Amino acid sequence: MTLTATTAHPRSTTAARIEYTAVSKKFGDTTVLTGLDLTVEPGEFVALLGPSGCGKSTALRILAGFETASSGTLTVDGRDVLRVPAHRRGIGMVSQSYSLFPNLSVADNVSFGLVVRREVKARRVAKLTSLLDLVGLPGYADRFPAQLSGGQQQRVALARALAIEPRVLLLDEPLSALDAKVRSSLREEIRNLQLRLGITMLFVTHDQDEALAMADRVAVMRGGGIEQIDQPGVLYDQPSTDFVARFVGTTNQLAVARGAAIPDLWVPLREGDHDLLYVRPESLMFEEYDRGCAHIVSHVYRGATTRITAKIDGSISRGSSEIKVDVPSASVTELPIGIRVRVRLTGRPALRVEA
Amino acid sequence: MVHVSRKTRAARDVRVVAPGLSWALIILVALYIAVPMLCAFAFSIYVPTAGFTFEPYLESVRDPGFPGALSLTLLITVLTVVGLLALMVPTMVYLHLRAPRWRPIIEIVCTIPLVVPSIALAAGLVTVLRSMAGFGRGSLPAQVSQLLQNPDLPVVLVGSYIVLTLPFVFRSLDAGLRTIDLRTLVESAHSLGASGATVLRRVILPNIKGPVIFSAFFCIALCLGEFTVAVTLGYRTLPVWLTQIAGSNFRASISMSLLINALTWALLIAMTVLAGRAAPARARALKGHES
Repeated sequence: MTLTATTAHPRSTTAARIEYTAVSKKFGDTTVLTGLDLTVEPGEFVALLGPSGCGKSTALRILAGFETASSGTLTVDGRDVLRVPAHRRGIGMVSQSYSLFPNLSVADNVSFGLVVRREVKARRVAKLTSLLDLVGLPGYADRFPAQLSGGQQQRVALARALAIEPRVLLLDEPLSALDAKVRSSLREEIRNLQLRLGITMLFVTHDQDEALAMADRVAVMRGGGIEQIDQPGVLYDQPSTDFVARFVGTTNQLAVARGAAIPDLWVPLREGDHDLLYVRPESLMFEEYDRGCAHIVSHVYRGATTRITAKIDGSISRGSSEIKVDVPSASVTELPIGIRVRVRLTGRPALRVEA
Repeated sequence: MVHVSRKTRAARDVRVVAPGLSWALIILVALYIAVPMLCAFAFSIYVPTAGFTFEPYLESVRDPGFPGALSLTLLITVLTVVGLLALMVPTMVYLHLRAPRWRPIIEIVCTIPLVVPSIALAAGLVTVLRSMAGFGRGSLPAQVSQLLQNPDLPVVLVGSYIVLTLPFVFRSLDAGLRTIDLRTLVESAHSLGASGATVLRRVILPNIKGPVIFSAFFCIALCLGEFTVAVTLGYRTLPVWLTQIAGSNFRASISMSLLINALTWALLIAMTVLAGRAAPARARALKGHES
């Protein structure tokens, strides 16, 4: 390993490689993490995505040093960190909200880690200025947290975490307390920042849009382990399990006879062994047809596309009883509510599972 | 918007049924507190045979017992405040962060001094100290007993006063810690490289400044006024000395107790101002921001 001289510039951060090996965590009788294996490459942005209680936050908190692992090893750049106290790990953290020190100004908040490290004043000031520029809040140095909006507070928290030139930056649902507009703009900013700084980032979220939009790779977690980890596109197009197919994006579950070829026109299967096809709304289309198996029940306008939902006639015990299809909003008038339709597969199903 | 503000104003009108009545109540309470003190003040500065004079004040200060009583009380006060905060602030932080399940138990323990009369506490202490001394000269318990009762540094009084203030201090700090997002703040500070002591000093203390100042105030007020335990254990603190000179020079004892009272009030006002300033800059800055 070579030693890199650090300069006052926040961009000089050296990215680290993170490796979880068989990390488990139990709280009393409940197991929160079951042998988690995860490698994050230097400079990579990985999102941990999953429903609440899947262990994603615990995985992050173990790396930050706020929880201990029951077993397993966790290394940063090859060095075991599990026995290192949180304040010596050099890992930055941005949490959900309200993490700024309310008694300190923006400047003092951002400089906190530098003061603790006894950096000389001139360097602190230089860093403060460049960090506030970086997060787009120049001129806010003298404000107090209570005077800032939620989005501004999170920017300051980001600047504060970056001030110590962390080897790894952890983000624990940093956007979930913000309103939708701020959330999506900050989402892009964090991603741009990560690309510019080349810092290793681990991001916890329950919001799949966020994970897909920001991360290099997304790890879908369930029941304390990783169900699948892949690039967003792969995760969406080729989910490896039905859980991932259902959790990431929207899918329709269509039953077909066991082993049968994928049909062009789908008709409900009501008896016999079956496989389930997981089909994305953009891989299907509805055609007006008098003897079709479903009728349209709703339109949800979403800008460029409109999501049309059709209900399948009769009771359905296999797969979805409603089918969702995305069509260009301009062509929506061809499929008014109430008309009878048939279902055509225009694309490949994301996943086929023997049910 | 107009609608809402009208509604709140209506609500405010309902709450203050009759402004006159509330003022009457305030005046009544003020009189209840002030009249005895004013009477005592008048008594202390007016001697029927000599007219108006500050002589009783000078007499009380000139009493040979005064310097010793004052220095002992001040020493006890300082040690008690320091000991109390050093014990309770870390304990309460730990309780909130790591052991919230123990909170009810600690709360009950800290409330006990409120329901146990201080004479019972003093009597209990006397019994324990005596039985320790009963082990014989030079034995370890006897030495400990002696150390605790050192006449120049009565550790036993400091300990007792810490116990007596626990009910107030527990509640004050508990409330203070509840108003901040303690866990998030502590974790953020840790991840920025601050050790436990630094977090306590730079992050937690500044954010519970008000409750800490009030705890110190409770403690000071108690130390300046506590009589029962001190007299039972045989220490000549300020209140004990006061009752002793009351026999020979009543007017002087009244003037001294007024001085102590005034000191307590001055402290209360100072603490309130300080605490107001502690609820900090950010509030004032906010006001400036809005206008």
